[in-house]
Amino acid sequence: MFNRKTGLIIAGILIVFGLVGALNILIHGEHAMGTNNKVPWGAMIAGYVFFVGASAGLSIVSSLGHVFKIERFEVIGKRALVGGIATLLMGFVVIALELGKPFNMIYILFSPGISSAIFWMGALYGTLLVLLLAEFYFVIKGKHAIASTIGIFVVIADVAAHSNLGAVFGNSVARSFWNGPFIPIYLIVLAILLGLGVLAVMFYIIDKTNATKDSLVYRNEHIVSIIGKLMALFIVISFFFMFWKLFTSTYGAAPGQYEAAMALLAGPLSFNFWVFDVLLMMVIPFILLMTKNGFQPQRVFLAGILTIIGNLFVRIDLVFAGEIVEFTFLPGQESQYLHAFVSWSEWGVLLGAIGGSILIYLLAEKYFNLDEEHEHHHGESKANKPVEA
Amino acid sequence: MRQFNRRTFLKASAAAAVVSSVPLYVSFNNYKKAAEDATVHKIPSFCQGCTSYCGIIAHVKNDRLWKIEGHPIHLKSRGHLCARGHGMADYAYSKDRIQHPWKRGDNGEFEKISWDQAFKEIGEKLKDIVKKYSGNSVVWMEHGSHRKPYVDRLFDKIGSPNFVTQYSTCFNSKTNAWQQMVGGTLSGDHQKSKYIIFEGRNFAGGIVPNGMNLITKAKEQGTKILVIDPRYSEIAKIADEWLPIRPGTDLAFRLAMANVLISEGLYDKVFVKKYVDGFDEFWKYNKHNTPEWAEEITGISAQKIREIAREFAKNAPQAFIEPGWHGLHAHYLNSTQTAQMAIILNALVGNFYQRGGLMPSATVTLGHLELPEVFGPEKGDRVDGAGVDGEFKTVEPARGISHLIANKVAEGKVKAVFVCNNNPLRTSPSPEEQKQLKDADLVVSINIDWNETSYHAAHYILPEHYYLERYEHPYTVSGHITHEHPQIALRQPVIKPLHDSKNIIDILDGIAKGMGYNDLYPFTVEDDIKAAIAPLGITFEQLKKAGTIEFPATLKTGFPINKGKPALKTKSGKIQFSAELFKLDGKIGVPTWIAPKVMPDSSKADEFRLIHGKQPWHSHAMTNNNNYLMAMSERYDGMSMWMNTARANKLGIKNGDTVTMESSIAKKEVKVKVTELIHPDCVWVPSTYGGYSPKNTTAYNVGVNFNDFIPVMVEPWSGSTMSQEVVVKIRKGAM
Amino acid sequence: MARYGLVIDDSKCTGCTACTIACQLHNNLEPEMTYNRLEILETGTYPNVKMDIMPMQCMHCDNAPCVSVCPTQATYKREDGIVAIDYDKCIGCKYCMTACPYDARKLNEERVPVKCRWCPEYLEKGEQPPCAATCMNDVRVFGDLDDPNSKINKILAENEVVSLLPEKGTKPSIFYVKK
Ligand code: SF4
Ligand code: SF4
Ligand code: SF4
Repeated sequence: MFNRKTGLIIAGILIVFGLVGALNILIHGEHAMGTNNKVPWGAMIAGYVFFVGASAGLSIVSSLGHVFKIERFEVIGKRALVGGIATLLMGFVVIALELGKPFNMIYILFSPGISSAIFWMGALYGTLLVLLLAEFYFVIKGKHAIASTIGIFVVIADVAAHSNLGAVFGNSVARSFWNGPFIPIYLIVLAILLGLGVLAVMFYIIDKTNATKDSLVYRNEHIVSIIGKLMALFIVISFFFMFWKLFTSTYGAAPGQYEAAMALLAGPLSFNFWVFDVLLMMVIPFILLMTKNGFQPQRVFLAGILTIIGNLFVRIDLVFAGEIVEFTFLPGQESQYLHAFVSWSEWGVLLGAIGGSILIYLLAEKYFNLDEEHEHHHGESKANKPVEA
Repeated sequence: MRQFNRRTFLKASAAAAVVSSVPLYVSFNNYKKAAEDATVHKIPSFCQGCTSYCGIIAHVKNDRLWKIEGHPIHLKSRGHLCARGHGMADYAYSKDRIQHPWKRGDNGEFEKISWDQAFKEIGEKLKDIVKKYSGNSVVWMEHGSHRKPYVDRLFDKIGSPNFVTQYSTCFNSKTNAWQQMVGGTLSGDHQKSKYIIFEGRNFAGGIVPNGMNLITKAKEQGTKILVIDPRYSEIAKIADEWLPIRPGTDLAFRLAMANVLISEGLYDKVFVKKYVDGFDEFWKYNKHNTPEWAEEITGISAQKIREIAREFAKNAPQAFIEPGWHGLHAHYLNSTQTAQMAIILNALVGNFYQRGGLMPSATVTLGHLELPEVFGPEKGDRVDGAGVDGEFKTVEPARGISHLIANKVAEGKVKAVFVCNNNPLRTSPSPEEQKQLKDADLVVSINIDWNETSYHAAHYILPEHYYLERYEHPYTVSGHITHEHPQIALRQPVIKPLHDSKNIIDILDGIAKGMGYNDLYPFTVEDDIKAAIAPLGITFEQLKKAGTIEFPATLKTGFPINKGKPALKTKSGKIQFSAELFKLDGKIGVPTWIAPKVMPDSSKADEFRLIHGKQPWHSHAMTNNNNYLMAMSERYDGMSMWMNTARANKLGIKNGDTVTMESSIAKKEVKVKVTELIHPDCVWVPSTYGGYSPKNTTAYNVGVNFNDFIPVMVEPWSGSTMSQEVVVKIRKGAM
Repeated sequence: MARYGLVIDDSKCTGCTACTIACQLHNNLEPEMTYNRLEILETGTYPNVKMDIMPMQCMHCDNAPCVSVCPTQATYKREDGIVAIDYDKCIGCKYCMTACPYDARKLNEERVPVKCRWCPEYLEKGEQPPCAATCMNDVRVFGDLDDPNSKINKILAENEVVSLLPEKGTKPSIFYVKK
């Protein structure tokens, strides 16, 4: 069922959606998006955070193999790296469509606004892309020493870039729900969870289609199962973060924050929140993983898919929650929830970017050898047992 | 895709960049630079956003109007302009303008025709009609009377008495009362007043910008402002107090106020003795109209009425009750008496011709163009019956009864109708009845856009130059506010005509020639202007350059006296509390209580009186096709009908709900704004919406109009529409 | 160098919207685009009611978050205090829009955020920009805060004024007369 051709067809269909959506956005600009003047950021920003988050997650998780020499993870190294590059590139495509005038990005060099988190975002993600490509180059060339060194920088750059991306929101004095250190940290946690989800799906499929099955099994434990255990752990961590964010926001009844939290819990975002952010991203995967036979590859695969979908929504909801409470300026004025949504063009672009990621991956798979080279050392003793969830 | 209509004034390069359909790559700066580089020509003229006719300075770039500013001298604007003025200036570029003459073909579709064809056909048809049915069957309907001197030449030739203004749907009751009782109108001296009562008059809705400026200045100096209105109107926002009154009962309030002034001896006895005629008659009929009596009717406590009357008297003569305008004066069966009472209350406190009270307008006398006299058949009675014995004898013939004309067509009495700068199909009651206009043998619409009258009734549509494209006879500036210095203002072209339109004289001349009268209009507007200003010692060039010219102050306080006697243009020379003309058929000339024609039944939860009013950014239906102004309506929920919260709760209606509203003649859906800012007895709609001409694309199908719900009625004294004498039933939900 | 400020006496505003459209035409804006707006609020129960109408536009904050979040310095603070936008440098990221606590910015058809400019072409000549000049109630008074004789300083001296959302630390240059 899973073969290259299916993969290409799926990617192709998604990309067609993406192209149509992108074209509509290029022609009609903001009119084709679900945002408005009072809710300026929406699905495209969330989508961008999602793709670069996936990239960060993949890099961080795979670095467990490269950088920290966790051997059983080495097997996923190159594929995760390709995945990381593919999703990062797609993140760039999404943000380029979100930007009204992407070509003016050149002024990031000519007149840098160094107090701006988006300036740093540009700088860090630019650097990151170069590093990732370099790492990939050396990995393919078999220069593992250099690759590992670069890998260290990749992880550093990734954490810096992604938490800085969180700071894009966290810096906002205007939007009290975003304001503060929560989002920078939470985005890293979410990125790892997302990375694990993507890896689970990737390796389950590779397992079904590739001959290198054996290498995916380590000490009788399938690599996907190991990912599953990490996933369970990060679901718990995510839950912990989300719980306290919402608890403090509602308990303190801080103006703006309270209404935003209520928008998620019981307001216009509540369907998304409970169904996607809570059930799909956390509760169902967790149950799937923690019940009997939970870490069987199919289960983990399923949990991975759900958590990926949930991860997209949780970002959309986080973005909207910060903006959806209308500002009030007159004493006694009650704030209203604003209307914002994800337009079909935006869905198209997001699906297209998923398709694009798959396509890049498949192309890489075709033109490069992504399997682990077995001449590499087998230092079992060095492998740390991953934390059990 | 959207259009970039604002930007068409740019030179080709920038315009080309803007036309590109992918906004992503269009440089905003290109267009901005091009716009900034062009030289700006500043040309003074005056506005047509409403009938205040504020002075404007038009800014023109690359032959395109860029924007307007208030004329710094013109006394209506003094540098300020309201939203309508700005919006209607831009309306020159509306795509819904009439761009050339049209003729309705046999299939009902309009086809483009030439001016020559239009003149020939209209002239011939008109000639036939006059021959067959006499000039009495021909009607000219115009918003005001600005073109009357020109129209008169043609009408004298054919023998038609039927020049009709739209004022029967506006303020007829007021001008009629003032004409009968005072012989002319005075205006409030807002700035010097200490106490002003705005009753049924929303000065911040029907705006004279400089008038509002004077009012806010007065307020800063401590003038007390009282607003009496069923709706918390815009002027209420800056008032010291808002008193919601039961709609239709202002007359009772005013009678009770007079009662307090007289019975408590607070009135200016010297003034009344010297300058008032008919005081005793008034008192005889109104002794019993006490505040307690009025409390029942108006819902304003007797205590409050006394308080107001006393404060009014205390501050007099620097106090007045606003003479008013459209508000109250075409609305109720008792509107004429209500208007009479404004005169009586002001006279009782002796504020006539006093600073801070009521003052006349400073004015100059213009010259006239000497023209060959026109001879024609003798004119008969007005077809609308205004001023005609046995019909509407007391109605001012100079204004006419506009909303009756369509019925006169149906009766076969009117055969040819010219509708100029006017839209009776939307501004007169009962649109279905108004549509009968089209059944005349000849209907010519001389309007600038595809308004309802053009679209649904016209046989021919002739585009007149827009106000920014034409000269007009100079205006002496006056009305609504007092001023020391007489002014005259000129309307002159600030842009070249955008379409194949013409000046009114050329249109009239064309029609006259089509009838075979080749020398009816041997002059141009410029000739007319020059003759008008000749006695003033200014030149045409000076006037063109200045736009508005102010003359030395002429205003004097004190009652007009001639040879020691009061010299108003009334029978006695005094203020006539009893209007002579109204004493017809045994009626009395003094106002006394007349109940409104209809009343919502207070025991029925679904019955309301439907009232209407002017929104500050619209001039009734005149501006409803303007993109900018309609965007404003959109922004501020301007199309909704106001309903009192408690009443809405009873009907289960929530803010933003759509309801079904039904009167004896119509049933429509309307969106509701639930608010505490309105009297529970009534619902209020802005007078703007309900466009039903598909070719006025912005206005089309937006909101409802009060006229949709009211049958054609005529107030017997002044001929007005009684546009608020209608009870509607409202229920939640769509139709 | 002048340092501009604006005093708004919203108690005098009657909601005519002339300021909005005068600005639109002066700045060649489409009908849907506005640089200033009215905040409207009714309070109380019939018949004891009150309506507040408060004109708003860019506050030209002294400590403007829109300036500090701009990645390319497209939004910048001029020496005279005006917060201006160089559209040629703007990447259209809308960060400034999320950063502004006053909803002062809107996206135009070219996908660039725009806002009230404080029309320097008027202020530099000592004149009132169109929004202030057209207002029949003289609700707005612009002026030079560094000029002790300016009308705005006179008003500031005679009235108690407040700025909006002081807790956000933005230091707006618009002062509302407290009535
Ligand atoms: S022009 Fe003046 S009165 Fe009118 S809305 Fe603007 S601020 Fe208010
Ligand atoms: S009001 Fe908003 S846009 Fe204007 S300077 Fe302040 S933060 Fe910037
Ligand atoms: S200062 Fe200029 S840009 Fe700002 S609201 Fe006034 S007219 Fe518009």
